[in-house]
Amino acid sequence: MGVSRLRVFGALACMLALFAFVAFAHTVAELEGIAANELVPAISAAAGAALAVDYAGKTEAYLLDLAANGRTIGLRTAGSNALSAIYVKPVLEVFSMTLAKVQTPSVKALEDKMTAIANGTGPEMVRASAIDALKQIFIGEVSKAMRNTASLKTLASDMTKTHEFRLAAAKAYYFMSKGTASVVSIKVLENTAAKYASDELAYAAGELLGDLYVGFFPKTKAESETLAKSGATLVLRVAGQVGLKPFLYDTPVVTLETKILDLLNIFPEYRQAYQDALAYQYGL
Amino acid sequence: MKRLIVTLAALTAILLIPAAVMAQGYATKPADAVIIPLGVAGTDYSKLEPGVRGGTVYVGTISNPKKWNAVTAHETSTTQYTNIMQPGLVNLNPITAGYDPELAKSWEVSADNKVITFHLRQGLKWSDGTPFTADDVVFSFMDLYLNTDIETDTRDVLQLPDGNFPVVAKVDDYTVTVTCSVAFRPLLNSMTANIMPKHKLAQYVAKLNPAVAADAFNQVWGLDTDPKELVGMGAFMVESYTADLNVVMKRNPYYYHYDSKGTQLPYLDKYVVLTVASQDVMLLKYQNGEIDCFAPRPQDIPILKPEEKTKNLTVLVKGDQPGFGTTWVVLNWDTQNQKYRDLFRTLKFRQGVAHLFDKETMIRNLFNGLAVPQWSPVSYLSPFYSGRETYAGPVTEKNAVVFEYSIDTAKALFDEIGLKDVNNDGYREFADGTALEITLATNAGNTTREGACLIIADDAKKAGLKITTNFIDFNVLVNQLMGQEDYKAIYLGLTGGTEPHSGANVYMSTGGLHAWHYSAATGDITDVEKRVDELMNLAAAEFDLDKVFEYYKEYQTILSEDLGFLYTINQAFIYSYYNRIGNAQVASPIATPSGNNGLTMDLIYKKS
Repeated sequence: MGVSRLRVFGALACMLALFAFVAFAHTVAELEGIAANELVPAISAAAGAALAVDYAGKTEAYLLDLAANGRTIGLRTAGSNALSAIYVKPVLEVFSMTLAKVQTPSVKALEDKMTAIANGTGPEMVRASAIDALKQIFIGEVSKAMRNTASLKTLASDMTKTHEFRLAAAKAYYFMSKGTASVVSIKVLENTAAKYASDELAYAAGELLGDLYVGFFPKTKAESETLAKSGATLVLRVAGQVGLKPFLYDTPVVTLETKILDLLNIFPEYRQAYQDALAYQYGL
Repeated sequence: MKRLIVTLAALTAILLIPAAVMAQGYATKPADAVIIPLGVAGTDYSKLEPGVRGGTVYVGTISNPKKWNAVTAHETSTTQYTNIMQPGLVNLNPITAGYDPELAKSWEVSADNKVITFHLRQGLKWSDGTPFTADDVVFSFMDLYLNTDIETDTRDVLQLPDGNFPVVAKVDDYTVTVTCSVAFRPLLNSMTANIMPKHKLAQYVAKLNPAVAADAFNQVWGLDTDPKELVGMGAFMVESYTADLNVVMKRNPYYYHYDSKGTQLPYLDKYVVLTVASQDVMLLKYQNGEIDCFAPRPQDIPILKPEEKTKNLTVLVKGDQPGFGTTWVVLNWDTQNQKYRDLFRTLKFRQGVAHLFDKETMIRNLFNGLAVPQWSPVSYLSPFYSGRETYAGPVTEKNAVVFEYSIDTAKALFDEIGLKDVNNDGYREFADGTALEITLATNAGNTTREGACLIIADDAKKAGLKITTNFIDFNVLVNQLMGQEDYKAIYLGLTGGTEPHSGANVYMSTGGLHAWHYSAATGDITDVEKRVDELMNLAAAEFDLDKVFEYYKEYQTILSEDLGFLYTINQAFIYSYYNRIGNAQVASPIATPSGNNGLTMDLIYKKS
């Protein structure tokens, strides 16, 4: 008991010391320090997310290794996010021409590569690195009529696929549905009785609902917090998370870090808003 | 002797070429340079700021240009480049939409309003270093725009109410007169026409060079032209073009605009227009930072707004300012099949189709509420828009011509003209039982237009009218609209402005873009078209703006009732840019940096 209490105290002391050290703008070395040594996963991950920009020039092999084998969630996040930026580039290139000239085989080849990663058996952060690129491939494929929007919903609910694959399809589905009121409207998305074929679809719906709040129907900070903490559905909680973030971007780093500490194992969507805001502040 | 002459000629050529290659801009600022008072209090540009030179900005497009020839261009995929390469005697002020002196530094109008004397800026040069003179102005108007060998829409807007055309004459190297047989109020608007380089292009005009074919100029400056051959006086010139990939525009060292600190514009070294597969891909590239500024769709705003802080970008939304221009469905009154020709010329059929347009659903679903129903050929922002009750008065829509969305009304009209579902397949046939199917085409990649077509087709089905959609390349669509290929129905749009007469090329019965009924020009003219022609001429000859307003009010009413174009939706103004682009906040319905009127790209700069 005494040992564990000491450990906790020691951990807190380290964290407090770390917070004091990083009160001001963060260098790459400082962020690496936080990502590598921070015991609180959300804070470590926030630093990792901020690091991804600085890691843009590293090789794919290096980043793959980091995403797979980084000692902490922060290091693995840094690798995964930087890798994601590398994977997105060729996707946008293959669609950087008139629609008629986009080469279906090239698109297919990229889809196969990203699917192999997102739907593969590799570690979680490696699979996560392909989400954005796969989402953008799906979007481009709908433009090229290689698939339709409805098929994305089917992919997003396929339980034989990984969470990462489903999430990419879900995000693409809602991206392409954003102009369809029967799918994307405040009324439809706020419906707590609505059933979603997968958590990933609910998550992506929540992101878009949050975007609608920010874009057209702003909520107060207090309303967003309540929604993020205790919204009746995953959709509403994620919407609250998205809606809360703009209120947090100017919050001092120490305040964000302290808040995350308070939310260690509770209110995941609410905590995520603080984590993302912290990543933004770390990156400034 | 002959050998000596040949040798001298060759020597001259050798001496000249290096001089042209070395042409690098003005040694000193021309005395007649245009000074843009960026950041100067009390001016139109007070909210902008002087920038710094350097850098490249990236914008996007989903279409290739069709050509580089401003005179023969009909489409924005071309004019977005030609308008920036070749300015006119006057230009639109991007802040106020008024007319600013451009290549002309001043002008006087005679007491009878029939003669305008333009005083040209002196000391200006074309991008290849050749001096600009009155010869270029006279050439542009008398040998190009008013030359019937040349296919140009500009001739339509230059035609005077009495059917004559202005005469542009040189007084001296820097003075021209424009003389009209009757007073012509919109003349100043017509003087925004691109001024073209005589020294480069006269050789292609049969009137000046009998050795070439009559239509030679119509083929000149196509996409296979070496960009070095393209000459202009605008802020940027084409540096390179790679089909389906990009157009690179580079700074013109002889541009004559300077800022209030004496810095020559444009600030940017280059801007690059990236071709992308669709508007959705454009949004992705913008989110990825590969495009610096663009015009999002209303449905894109929820995606971008939350990213304003984290990505340091701005989303401009002006819900009370629909953009200039029109969006519509056109039925081809001259389509090859006689049955469809007769059908499309039947007013009750067109009315039935108009009643199928669920504009509220389009606004809600496709535009997130950021649009207004459109019914008029005149832009919402024009002081002549007859949604106002007086010239420049507030918009009340009291005069709006409305075809309410009503499937039942559409059904009744179709019944009335004998279109019935004879074989009980859910779709109506012609009265003689033959199948009736209308293909509605629009440009692939434009998702709001595609979405609108799908909504229309869906509602048509409810009324028993079979409409199938076809999304095709923009330039192919333009070919169809120009009458070069047959079509049944097209969903498209046109640019617009404050001056309704600038639509003469569309709405006059002889207009080059009178898309629904080209045969009106050869005598097959309706009473409505005759009256529209009369009204346009009356309005053009009248200087009392209240009277002009009344003429244009009747013009808008009868055009809207006649349904040559079946109008749909007018989107609110939306723009987005990364905050690393200085002066991008100049974007408005009048002009955006990436827009097709070529204005304001010379004012923006890279902050870092």
